[in-house]
Amino acid sequence: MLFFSFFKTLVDHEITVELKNEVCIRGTLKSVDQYLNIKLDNAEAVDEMRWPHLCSTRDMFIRGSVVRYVHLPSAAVDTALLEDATRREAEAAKNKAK
Amino acid sequence: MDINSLLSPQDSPARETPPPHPALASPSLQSPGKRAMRQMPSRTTSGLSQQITSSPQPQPHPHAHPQVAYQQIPSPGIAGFTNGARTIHSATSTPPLERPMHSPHDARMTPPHPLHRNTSTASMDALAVHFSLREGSENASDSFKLDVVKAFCLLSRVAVAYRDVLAPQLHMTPLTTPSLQNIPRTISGTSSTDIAMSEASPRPRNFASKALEQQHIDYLVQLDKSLAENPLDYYSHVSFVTTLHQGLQYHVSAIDPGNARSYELLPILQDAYQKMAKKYPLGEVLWEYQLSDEMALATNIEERMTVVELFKQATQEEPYSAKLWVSYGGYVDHLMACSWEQNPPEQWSDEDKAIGRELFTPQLLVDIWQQGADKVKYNLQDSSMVWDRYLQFLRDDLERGGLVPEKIAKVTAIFNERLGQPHATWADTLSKYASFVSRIGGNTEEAMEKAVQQNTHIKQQYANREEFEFKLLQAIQQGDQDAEYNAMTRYLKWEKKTMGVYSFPLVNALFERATLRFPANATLWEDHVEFLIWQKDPSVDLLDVLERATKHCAWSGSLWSHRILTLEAEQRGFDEIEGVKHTATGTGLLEHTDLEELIRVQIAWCGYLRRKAFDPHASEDDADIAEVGIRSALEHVREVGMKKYGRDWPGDPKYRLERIHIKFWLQRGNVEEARNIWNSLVKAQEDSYDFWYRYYIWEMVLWANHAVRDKINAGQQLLPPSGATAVLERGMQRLHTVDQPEPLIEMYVNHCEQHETVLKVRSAQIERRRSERTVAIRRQREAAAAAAILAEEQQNHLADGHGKRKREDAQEEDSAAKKSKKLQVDESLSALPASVSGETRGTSEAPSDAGSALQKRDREHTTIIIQRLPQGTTQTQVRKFFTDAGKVRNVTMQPEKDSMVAIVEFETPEEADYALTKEAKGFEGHDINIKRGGNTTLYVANYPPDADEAYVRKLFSPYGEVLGVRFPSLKFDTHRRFCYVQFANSDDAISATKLDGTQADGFKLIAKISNPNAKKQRDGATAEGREVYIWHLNFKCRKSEIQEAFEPFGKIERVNIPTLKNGNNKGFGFIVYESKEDANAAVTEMNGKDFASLELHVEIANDKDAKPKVKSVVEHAASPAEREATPGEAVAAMDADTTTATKDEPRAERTIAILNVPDTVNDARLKTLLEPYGYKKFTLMPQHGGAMIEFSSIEQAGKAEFALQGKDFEGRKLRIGRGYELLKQKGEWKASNSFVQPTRVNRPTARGGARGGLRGRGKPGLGHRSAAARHAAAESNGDDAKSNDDFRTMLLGKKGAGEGEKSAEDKMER
Repeated sequence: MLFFSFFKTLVDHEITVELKNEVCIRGTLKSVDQYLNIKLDNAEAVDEMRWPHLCSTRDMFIRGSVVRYVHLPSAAVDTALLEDATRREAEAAKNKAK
Repeated sequence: MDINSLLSPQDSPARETPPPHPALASPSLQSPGKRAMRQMPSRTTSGLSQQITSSPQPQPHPHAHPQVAYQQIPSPGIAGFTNGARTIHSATSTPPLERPMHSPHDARMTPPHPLHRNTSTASMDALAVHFSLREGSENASDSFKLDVVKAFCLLSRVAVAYRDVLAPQLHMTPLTTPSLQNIPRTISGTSSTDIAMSEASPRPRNFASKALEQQHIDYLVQLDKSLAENPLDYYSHVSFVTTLHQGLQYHVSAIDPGNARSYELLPILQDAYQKMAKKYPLGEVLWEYQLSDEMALATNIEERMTVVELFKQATQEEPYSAKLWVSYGGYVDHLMACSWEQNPPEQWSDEDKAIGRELFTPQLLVDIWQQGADKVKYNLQDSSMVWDRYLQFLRDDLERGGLVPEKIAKVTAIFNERLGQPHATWADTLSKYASFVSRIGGNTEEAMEKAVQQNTHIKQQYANREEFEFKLLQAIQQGDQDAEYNAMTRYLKWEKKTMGVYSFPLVNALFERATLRFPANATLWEDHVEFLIWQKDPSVDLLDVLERATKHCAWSGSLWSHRILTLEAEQRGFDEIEGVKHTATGTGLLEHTDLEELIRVQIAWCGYLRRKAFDPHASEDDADIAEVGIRSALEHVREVGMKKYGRDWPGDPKYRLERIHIKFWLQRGNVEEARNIWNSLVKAQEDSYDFWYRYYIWEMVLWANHAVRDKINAGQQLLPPSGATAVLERGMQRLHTVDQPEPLIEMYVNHCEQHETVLKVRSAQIERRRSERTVAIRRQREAAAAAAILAEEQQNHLADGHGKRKREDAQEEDSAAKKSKKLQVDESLSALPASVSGETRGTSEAPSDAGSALQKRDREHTTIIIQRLPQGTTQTQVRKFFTDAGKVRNVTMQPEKDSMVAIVEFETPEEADYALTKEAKGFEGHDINIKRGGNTTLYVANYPPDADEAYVRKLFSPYGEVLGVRFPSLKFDTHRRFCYVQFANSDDAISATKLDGTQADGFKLIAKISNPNAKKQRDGATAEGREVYIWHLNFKCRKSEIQEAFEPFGKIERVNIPTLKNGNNKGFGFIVYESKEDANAAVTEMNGKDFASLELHVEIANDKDAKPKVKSVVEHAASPAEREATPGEAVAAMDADTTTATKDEPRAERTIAILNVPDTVNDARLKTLLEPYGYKKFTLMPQHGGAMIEFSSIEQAGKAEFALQGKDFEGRKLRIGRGYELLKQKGEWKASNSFVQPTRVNRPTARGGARGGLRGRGKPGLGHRSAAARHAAAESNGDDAKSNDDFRTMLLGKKGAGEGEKSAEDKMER
């Protein structure tokens, strides 16, 4: 839930998604769902020379399970809020474990 | 410096006297007065330590001296031991005596100085002075003054203490006591002549004396006056006698040494003693005074005999006073010395000596010591005073008479007896025993070992009590009466608790000590008597104790009645009992405090008479005597009562004596007489249910013979109990005023059903109905009166605003009316408090649902507050604690600093009353406070909408401790804005009503004591029926046109036609007239009329059918969607908005639900919570415990989700979920919540739209549902929406075409 919420806060920001097959795609995050599937607008491969077949694709839907990393724009991350939420989540998890 | 230092051996002429015995020199035995002055080191608890004196002087060997002393004394065998025990005082405190003491008295006075150091009161020091006047030099006189002064201080304290004990019982007027603190300074001044012969008193009695200060003389005058006014004033007597006595002491010592007769106030003093003795027993202290005075006065043999007689009397009256015994023995000893010795302490004439030798024989002294020793033997602390002297005497006697074996055996036996009794100076006694054994040539070590072995349990017994004894002694030495009393009672409590088989005499002796110290304390006496009755020990004469008790506490009726009962139980003669009764009533003290006491004595007496009269051996006379006795007792009580309370005193409220009288007549077989007494009682008791009950039972008992069919009445018809029925009927006539009418009715009906004829039963049923009605009306009136009083108390704080709670009232009336229309006739009945109708309405009548519908929660009276609960107490524990009190409805716990507070609500006020009594029980060993919750709750309304608990608490915290704030659940109406503030006590709550009417952030606050009875009817145009609702309007109609059309019917106060931004109206509107009639006229005239080509619908507006808002929709004021909707193109804008929103980012993704929101949170507070996250719109749904929030972008939604997940809000952790999760949630359910859904109140939401941003914007006409509304409808439970519509259709069906608009409007409102 935390990640889902977190990605939601990044909607409309430019992110770079690195897939497990080494492909790196940069684009504007359009939406995200509970499986962390990602929709990108204006997407382009970071190394177009390497993956020329991706040049023609502008909008993408990336299955959440193939994502290795997501590179975030540091400006778009509200660190304080994130820390706060993480702490609360940890606490909730601890309480649940009891 | 004090007199004792002057008596120390090195200064005394009696050089040969042996040094003091160490044990007796213990500081613990000194008088409190001296102790305080000299700052002695505090006493330790050890018995051993008592042997250590505070004196720095080297102590002589305890074993060495007795023989020496005995050998030196040539007397015929009595006086030799006298100096055996004298205290040595600290040498440092003894001023060096510059001159040898040569006083004229030296020759006359007796050298042996009896054991006065043992005494612990100043008066005994005074006594000591009397015996030691031989040393009366200048210095001695000086020091004596000091001593007297100390004694005086002490005694005035005693007198004050007496007053404390007595004052509450005797209702005395407080007396101004002159400052006694000044006495030391003034008396110790050099010239006593300065004060002599001051101006004569204007009073007939002249108290002028050389021996008294002017202020004391004034004091005497004052006391004399008060005694003349109130001759029963105990403490005035005490002070009077004490002052005079001190004067005499001073006179003898300083003014005219040795000549007591020259004391000016002597006759007055003697008179005072007599007067006092007539009314009160003197008690230990005053006996000592009188005896010491008499001893000083006695100059010839006859007078001395009188003193001895007095001593005898004193020891009879106070047989357990060790002090009196000691001084008695000492005096007789002194007299013997005078008459027998060759070198006597006082020079007597030969004739006197001869007579003295006849009278004062050693046998007399032996008897005295023996008696005294026997009486005090169980007194742990003081018995040694008597016993030491006794044993000393026996040993001396043995010395003188030679070592006769029988005598030795006897003395050894006495020693052994003594060693077998626990006492404070046991070790000391043992050492004496040892020296005695060595003296008679026995084996000391063997004897000691044996004694120790045999008596280990004795030592243990004392050791067990040592702590208590020590505390007691400490208190006595500090002169603190209260502390002493406390120590004593604690000691007694312990003794009673741990009482074993053998400790009876000890406990008894302790009681004797207690009553000796506090003779005027009736409680102690009663405890003692009860203890003796409980123990039934034959060794103690209960009657003797009772006699002394009644003498000392003659005002205590229970003691007297105990005495009479005991006499009766022991089958004493009639004369004796009668004598006691006469003494009791003769003193006049009984009725002085309370008539109750007198009645108690009379009950015991009359009971005795009655029992005696019907004793199997009783003669006919006895019955007559009883008759006269009871009658006169009744008259006596009546007389006294009238004297005390005025002519119209109604008699004993419990008519106990009369009951005895009735019983007497009944036993005598004279039913008529008995019935006459009942009838005579009717007048005074007619309003007491209890009385009627007793009378009825009595009649039933009489009738009981006829109740059973047996051989005697075979064949006859069984008679109905007509007498009993008559009684009840008479009682029924008093229904208007009798204290408990309901049980009386019940009893009557039951009686008739059980015992009476069919006709009676029938009439009883009718009577029951009628009387229930009567009672109901009466109760109603009482309730109204109570409410009026309450309302007055609240100082016209009644709400003038539109308090939300009024709805409950409206609902109740409404539902009651609906449910039982047929009962409307019976309205007075249905308005009964539930308790009344519930109880008295039996099964015979049809159960009324009106009654149950009226059951309302009476939190104000069924709530109690429990404070100081231990930390960590759980609700379950509290519920368990109160299970026996009744059904606990609700428990609220609140942690305090180091304890918990629980607010417990019960089902009925009676249960709460009962629960109050559980305070005494304590909660699992903790002390708790239980308070009634009435008037501690404040009803607060119209606070700022976004106020939360913290805000309210802060608002009210200046007025007192706020235990809790209770917000209503918004499940049924999100508009509720009130709360209850619970204070710890009613004063705080009442003071907090000051906030009523003040401004709080722009809102005019309502703050009143919560009182459901003070509910106000709704007022305003709608409630008064002055408002007209019109609908089916042409959208194009203008407000002015409508107003014009409606003006002819009356003056219009207000017109409200909601319009859209494009200027069109919404198809409906409201018009408020100034009077109801105008509104009615408008309805009749205008309804169905053609208005702007549409058929107009007009009706009186009502708020009954409207559903309260259970959802609250709030749109962000600055949300872009709103700005888009400009007038004129609203439809297009809305369409555009809807489409773009869906296309752009699906609403579902932009919407989050927050769950676990308390249902007491209103939209305003939620709004403050959500404000930072920029919501677009939210819908608060308390019935689901949450809210749906729509944001304008997913990003915002994500941020909010992030921030709100798990956030603490109002003590809960918020959860974030999806919309469907929220709708699945059930609202909160509170176990005890019996609030029903209130009636629908039409919140005329369209009116004016005054709340701006908080309100959704409506769209005109059919089918123009906003996207938001549609969404809400889609998301909310489909069934729910449908059923609402159905409901509406059903209700509005008759209104035909208007239906469409109405439902559309309603949807938008949601």
